[in-house]
Amino acid sequence: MFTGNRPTRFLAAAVCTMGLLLISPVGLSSRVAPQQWTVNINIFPTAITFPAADPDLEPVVAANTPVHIQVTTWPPNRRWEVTIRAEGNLVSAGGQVIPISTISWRATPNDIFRDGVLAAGQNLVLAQDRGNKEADLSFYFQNSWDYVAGEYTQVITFTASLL
Amino acid sequence: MRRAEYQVRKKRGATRKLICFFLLAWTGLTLGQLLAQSTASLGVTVQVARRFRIEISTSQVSFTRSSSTGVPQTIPANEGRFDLTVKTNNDYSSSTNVWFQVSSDLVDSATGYTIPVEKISWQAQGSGFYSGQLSKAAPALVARFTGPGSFTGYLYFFFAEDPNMAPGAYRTTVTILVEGV
Repeated sequence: MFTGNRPTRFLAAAVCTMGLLLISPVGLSSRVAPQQWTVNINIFPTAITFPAADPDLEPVVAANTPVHIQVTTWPPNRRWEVTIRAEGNLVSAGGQVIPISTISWRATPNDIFRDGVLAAGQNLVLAQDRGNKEADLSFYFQNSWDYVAGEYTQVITFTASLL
Repeated sequence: MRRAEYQVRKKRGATRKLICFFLLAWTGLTLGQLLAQSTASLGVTVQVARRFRIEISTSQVSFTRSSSTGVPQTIPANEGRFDLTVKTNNDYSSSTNVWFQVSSDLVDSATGYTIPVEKISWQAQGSGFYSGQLSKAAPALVARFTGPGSFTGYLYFFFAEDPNMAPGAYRTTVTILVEGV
């Protein structure tokens, strides 16, 4: 492979390099300054609460506040993906468990950010796009008499990655 | 001949080095892309308060003595079956008790005559539900459950009629009390 005289080898190697760079999702421009490529995700607030409610009167309970999510990239036109992951089910101090699938969300606007239902330990694609974007996520809890009194907690992780 | 082979080997070696270099560069770029990530954490809290709910099929139970046979008789409620549902999210190791609490006898407000409330009894159907009799002296236990859930019982009320009771419209109020233990 790539045998022959020096110009031929150089040409073959150059073609190969170009091909590899084109195949790579990073693209050719990454050769310029790969260290400057960034994607940042910010959310506010960083905690939400579903207040106690009568399951008959409020079968679906809204969180106390929507969550504002903002994705920024550099360079600004970079393509990115945001996933949402519940690290587990909702657990109380007494060890009682409520399935995390009782929590769903709606995105506004939802042309880029999708609506969905949480799943324990699974990365779910929340959005894919390029450039700087933001949205509000409203979370909802499916209430039931089956859930024993207590305070249940869990952590949700949002991950933004360049594509 | 040997020199020609040496030249070919030398060229191949150089080519391999070039390929290794480009592969390393590509891997580095891809790795750099993978490292271009950002995360944010959201704490979620769900508050669940201890609750009880009582649901009844009717808010009134009545008995009618159209004519006395001269001997005591048991009269069923005009409304038929009385459905009682108790919902609770009490914890798994705790009990829920349901009581009938009554503070006065049946009274005819026109005459002031009374009939002992103990003349009213019920037969219960449903897991955790008990048959019993109303009492002024103490609340009567209707049901007992353990843990969370929705529990339904069917009660059939009866009035123990006595021929000596004067005609009239006798009333009292029964309070259904749910207690988490």
